[in-house]
Amino acid sequence: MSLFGMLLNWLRARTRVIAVLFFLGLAGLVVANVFVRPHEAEYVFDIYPGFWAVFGLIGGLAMVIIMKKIVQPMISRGDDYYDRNS
Amino acid sequence: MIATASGFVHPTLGFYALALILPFLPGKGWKWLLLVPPLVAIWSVMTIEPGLYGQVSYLGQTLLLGRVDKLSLIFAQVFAVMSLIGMVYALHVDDKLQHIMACVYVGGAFGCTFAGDLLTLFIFWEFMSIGSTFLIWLARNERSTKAGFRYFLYHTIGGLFLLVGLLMRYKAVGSFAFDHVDPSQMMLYDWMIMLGFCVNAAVVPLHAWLPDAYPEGTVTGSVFMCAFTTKTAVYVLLRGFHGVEVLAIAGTVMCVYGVLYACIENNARRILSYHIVSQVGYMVAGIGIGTAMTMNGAVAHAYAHILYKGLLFMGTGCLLYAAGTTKLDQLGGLVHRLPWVMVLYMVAALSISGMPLFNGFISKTMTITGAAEAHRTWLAIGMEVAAVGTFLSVGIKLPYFAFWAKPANNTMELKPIPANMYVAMAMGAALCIAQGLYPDMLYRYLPFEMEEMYHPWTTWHVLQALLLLGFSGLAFYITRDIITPHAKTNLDFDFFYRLIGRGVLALVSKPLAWIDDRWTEAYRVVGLGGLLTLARGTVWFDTKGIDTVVDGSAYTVQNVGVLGAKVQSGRLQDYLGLAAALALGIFALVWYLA
Amino acid sequence: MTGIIESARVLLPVAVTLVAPLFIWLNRGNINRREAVSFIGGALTFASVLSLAPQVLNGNIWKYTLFDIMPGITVTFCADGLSLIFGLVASFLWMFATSYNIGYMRSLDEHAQTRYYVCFAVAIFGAEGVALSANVFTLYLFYEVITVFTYPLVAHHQDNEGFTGARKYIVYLMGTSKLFLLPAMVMTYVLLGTLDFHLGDVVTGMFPPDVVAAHPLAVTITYVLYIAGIGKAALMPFHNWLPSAMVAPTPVSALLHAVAVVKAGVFCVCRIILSGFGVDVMHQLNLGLPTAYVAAFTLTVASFIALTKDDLKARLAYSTVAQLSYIVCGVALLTPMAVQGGMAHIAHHAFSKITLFFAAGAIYVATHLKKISLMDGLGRKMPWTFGAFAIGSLSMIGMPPVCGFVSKWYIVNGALQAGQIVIFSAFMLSTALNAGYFVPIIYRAFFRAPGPDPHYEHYKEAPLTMVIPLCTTGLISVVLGLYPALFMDFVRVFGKF
Repeated sequence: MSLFGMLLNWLRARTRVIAVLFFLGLAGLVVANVFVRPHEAEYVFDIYPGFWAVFGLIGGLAMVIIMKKIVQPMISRGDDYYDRNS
Repeated sequence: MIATASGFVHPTLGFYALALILPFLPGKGWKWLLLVPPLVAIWSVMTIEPGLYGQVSYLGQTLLLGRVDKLSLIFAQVFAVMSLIGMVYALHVDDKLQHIMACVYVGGAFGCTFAGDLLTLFIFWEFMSIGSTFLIWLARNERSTKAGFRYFLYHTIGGLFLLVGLLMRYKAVGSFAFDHVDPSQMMLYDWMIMLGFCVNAAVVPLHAWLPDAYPEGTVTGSVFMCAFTTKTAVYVLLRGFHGVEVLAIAGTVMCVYGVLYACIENNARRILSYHIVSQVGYMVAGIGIGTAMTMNGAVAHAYAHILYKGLLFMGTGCLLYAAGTTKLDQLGGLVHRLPWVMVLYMVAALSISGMPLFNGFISKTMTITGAAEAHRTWLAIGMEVAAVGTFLSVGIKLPYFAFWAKPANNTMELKPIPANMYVAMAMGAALCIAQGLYPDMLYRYLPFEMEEMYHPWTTWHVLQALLLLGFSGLAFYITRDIITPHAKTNLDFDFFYRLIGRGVLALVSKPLAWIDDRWTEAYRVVGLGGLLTLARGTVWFDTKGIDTVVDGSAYTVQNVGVLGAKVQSGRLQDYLGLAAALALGIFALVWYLA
Repeated sequence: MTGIIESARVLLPVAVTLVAPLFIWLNRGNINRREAVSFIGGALTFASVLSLAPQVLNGNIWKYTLFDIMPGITVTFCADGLSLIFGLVASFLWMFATSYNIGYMRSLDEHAQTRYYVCFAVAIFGAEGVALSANVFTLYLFYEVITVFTYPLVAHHQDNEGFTGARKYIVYLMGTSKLFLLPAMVMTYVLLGTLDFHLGDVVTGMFPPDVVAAHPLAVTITYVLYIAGIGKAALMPFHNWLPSAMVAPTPVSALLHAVAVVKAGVFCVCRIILSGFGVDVMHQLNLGLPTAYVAAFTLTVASFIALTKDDLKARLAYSTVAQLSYIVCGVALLTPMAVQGGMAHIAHHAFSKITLFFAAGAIYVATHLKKISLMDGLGRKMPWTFGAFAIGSLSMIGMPPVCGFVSKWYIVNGALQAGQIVIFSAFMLSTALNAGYFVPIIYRAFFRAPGPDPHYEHYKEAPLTMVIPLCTTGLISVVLGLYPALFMDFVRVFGKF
């Protein structure tokens, strides 16, 4: 295992630390959004601080939940579904 | 059909020359020759002046092989760069046929790019089809063989749309010139041509060939394929059909459709294939909207996409090469053993997501801003949604489940990855980062004039990107158990294509063959039977006259038997005699008629 | 303006091919000398046909009357652009077929080889005679010669299967020619008093306007009888002899049923339509379009049927039926591009189809396999054979840069010129179907794992005398695709209007 690999394993053992840093970063971004905003709204809601944060979060959640929980059960088949036929 | 020109070395020449001589080169040293055509192509593209080169006569038409202008040059430039990276990546492959087919394929792409008329375009379009089909078949396993056939059949039909369109156009307009079509005056043949282009661009619902075939290609072949087929289609759509409204809508649909499927797929290369659909959707939408900024955005996006998509496929190609599979449910916990693959992959993943510092940021946002400024709000929102999905699936889901997710996996056998693959990936990554930091590197080649330059590096743009991506990441963190991939096949439109294929065989071919088999026996029943009866009649007449004493029926039966034997052995006297009788009859008829 | 050259030189090809069988028979004791006669015969025939070419390309026509039988009935030979297309192809490919014959017949240790080579040579004699005919009588004479002397070739194996197939073959061909072609000839003579083709242009035919105006029904019936009578063109419903004739040894299938016999058929159709009736009369009596529709029907249905055939030669047979209809359809569309495409396809299809049949025969000699489903993985053992097969297939599908693309391009353009969208669509559909039934053969051979065949490891390429001809004809197909002028010049000199 290379030096780099060991570094990554070291990091891996400290996931909690990384998670905390991540959340801090996100909070910082939202705060920054209060002060830095676009001059003109490209869409109507751009102006509001935190719009894009909400967009990203809700959009992501919606996508995963709808696709994995609702759509995939409808359209998925066994892994070898086509191999048996065509 | 040689392209001669005053000073323009058509890149295709180099590739086809290599393809022709490669089978005859012995030993091992030929591998270095693989780098020559890409280098020649890069040199040629960087030094040529715009103009028209290479007119040849073929089939009674004058073909234009070298239409060089800003639009074709920028695409050719990125094709040339990518061909170099791809060849470096494939240096370790000993199978000469893979290299030959890659050359045919890439040469075809250049041919299409520089084609000045539709006939030239069609010819190189077919070359590309053949080359890429072999890149799938050469994976040499059961799945790839069938996938390659479906791919070939599908692209042949797509090519037929193009052929029908260009022939009808020729009949109506009298020329094969390939220029922009006014969207408000599109005729049926223009739609057919556009349809043919859309097949290669993987526009939904004609897209299912892409996720069906690309995952089955060879490790190195898929790297080439992800770059060239769809981007050539984007180029021709851009040249011919910018401003066509339906493309704007279709493109946005593609954006979202692709990422939705990518969220639920298990095979890493299939995820990437759906992503191609999604990213090309950005380009197609940009073409459809048709303003200078969105079109430049489409071009910039195509350029960047080739680089980072190639890198993504190279990364997963390394996984395939080393671990033998790209199914995410079978990977995981490998980051400490393939750290550089992970890093280089992440460069591409962040690029595709539009993270600042990488080239996706400078290209994707241009398209979205262009859409918003053209007041296509819903399209822009669709693209933003797709951006969220992109980051989710390619930026986080794929690497997470490929490299992390499970405890450290020290038991899975990993083939050592040859150095050239790392070098190629590094080249790609370097370009992604360089363009991200110095956007002008790309912008100066953009072909369309814009009123005001687009500046990606503003505080707001950076913040917005970080917000969007950061919180998408949060969404992933929250749903990381739900999004775990399982080994399943998700049905897509190819379900219908296969149905059509089987349907044709069952409903048309088999009944026709059955009818033909019955008809082929009819000659015996009707023809021979009729002949026999006729012959019998004449003989009866003859023998009755000669000898009425002998039992009439027995004699007749005997002669029928003899005649039957005669006919069976195919003797000709009877036919000639019969013919004479018939001729007499017809003669009389004609005499009467005339 | 076209000039007529009266010279006995035009008899040379026919004379050579008449004499060649005799020498083959005389040398029956020494098989190498016997085969050499075939080779030399082919070379001499080709050379003699080629010698007629320069004058023809200048726009002149060779002519010579051999026998004067009755007023209006002679045995006369001519050589113009159309004659040379067929004449060159038949003689050129005879040489290749001889080499192939040697490999095939000797590897399988076939019986009655002398009879085989003699009949082969006489069949070529018939083909050259058809190509060089200047009137219907001569045409009919040589047409029947081909039928009669190919019968022993089809029935060569002399087993039940062989006799059944050969019986169907001769009943179809003799039946159609006696029932339809002979009466057609008689009617022509009665209407016109002569049987000579109108040479020099394709617009005026044999039938002068006053005859057509006075007896339109009779002329139409004559046309229908001609088309029905030329059974060798395999138009539905008289096509079934072709698949049945596949019981013949493959070289017979290759040269005769992909090149000489069937090409004689479509050549006759071209001659009748272009030099017999002429474009004007065809338009006047609306004869062209129905013919084109019959041909379009044939090509579509035959392509569908080919999808279901597992026997390789059967699949190729139905493909031939379809491709012949390309030619007939092209000529019957009566537009300049379509007619040129149809005529060019006579040559282009010949080279590509013979490659395919040669490959099928090579496969049989090397492995004794006939069914496509048993040929998985065979391409890895016989790469040259299947490579050439792939090229031939690309030509059938109509992909550049192989020659099939060129002729199809012209025909399809011509269909559009004539505004015939249905026929145009039939060609597009046929392209997709061609891909559907040829490509699996190739990819299964190269990329599929071989089936449970105990002999698989021992398979290798067929003898060189077979592989070299098939690779060469494949190569020529590509060359013709890149430089179509080779045959297009003859086409243009004949069919300008």
